[in-house]
Amino acid sequence: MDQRGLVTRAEEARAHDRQCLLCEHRCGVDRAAGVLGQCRAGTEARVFRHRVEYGEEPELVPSHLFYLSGCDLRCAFCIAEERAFDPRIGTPLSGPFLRRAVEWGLKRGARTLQWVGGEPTIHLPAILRALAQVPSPPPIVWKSDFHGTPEAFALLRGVVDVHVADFKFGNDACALRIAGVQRYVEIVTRNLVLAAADARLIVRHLLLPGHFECCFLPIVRWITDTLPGARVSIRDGYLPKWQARHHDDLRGPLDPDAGAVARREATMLGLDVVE
Amino acid sequence: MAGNKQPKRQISADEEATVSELVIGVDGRVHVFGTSREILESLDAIGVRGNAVRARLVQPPPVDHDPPGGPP
Repeated sequence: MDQRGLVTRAEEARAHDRQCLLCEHRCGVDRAAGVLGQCRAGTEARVFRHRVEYGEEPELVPSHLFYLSGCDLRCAFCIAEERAFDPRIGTPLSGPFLRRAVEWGLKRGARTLQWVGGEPTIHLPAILRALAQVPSPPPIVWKSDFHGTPEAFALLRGVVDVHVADFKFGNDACALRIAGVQRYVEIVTRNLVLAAADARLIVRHLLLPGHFECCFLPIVRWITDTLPGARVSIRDGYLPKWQARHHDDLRGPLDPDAGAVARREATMLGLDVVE
Repeated sequence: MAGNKQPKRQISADEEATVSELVIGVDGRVHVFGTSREILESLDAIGVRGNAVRARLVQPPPVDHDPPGGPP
């Protein structure tokens, strides 16, 4: 999308500053007036880290990742911990800041610009405002928990080149117990179908200890049945961070063979598995 | 956010905010976060998970701005 289109899209997104319906908590709060919803974010997005990384999927790297503080979920095992949840952390995201940072990243070889969190969807208006001030940005990657609303995904249409979906749980009971979120599977699968129609899609799944049958298998089976063309990225770098110690199943490490077993299973289902 | 204490941390637009982080898990596995090219090259040199490392060093064609199915 060109800059003019981004300006228009940023204006459309501004409505969510006044009545936020960006994620499926649907708080409807007036963030511009300082009212806080479940994510506790105002109208300003903040970058707590940015760097050019090589650990992403091969077609994305080198990728310039912008980490925004604030999230709509509270996953007990969150690796970013308080940086993910406190939207007051970091440097305000502005057009001039992003323009300079993108130039810096391109000089370091970045081929994509990737928004991560926390959760970028809760900052969609601020991101669009900043992006509209960047001439010719590289392809945009949107790494998300996919707990956004259809309204949010409509705002991303034509802006995002690659969706990276973090499909965490294969059933609602695990999602409720570990992340405190309702209707998880229905929301995420709906959004995966929406995203696949608009852009390239990579579905990531972080293997959790003891969640092979209840989470991993339902996820890969759903992808096989519904989005067989999606790239599937199975991550086995689980670390028991943040509040994982409070959950019997999450306080220990992942089985060392879990990644290989899961990749083999996904490959046998015919999925396009990222190395 | 009236009344809330404002964290002071600021980062620069033209400076890497952090370097790669290495974490050693309780099982002895080494986790790399924010993998830099230098880290990848080191892993490649000692043959760690060869395919995954090589695929990121010798990158495939990049993604582009075209939607699925090609340009409109």
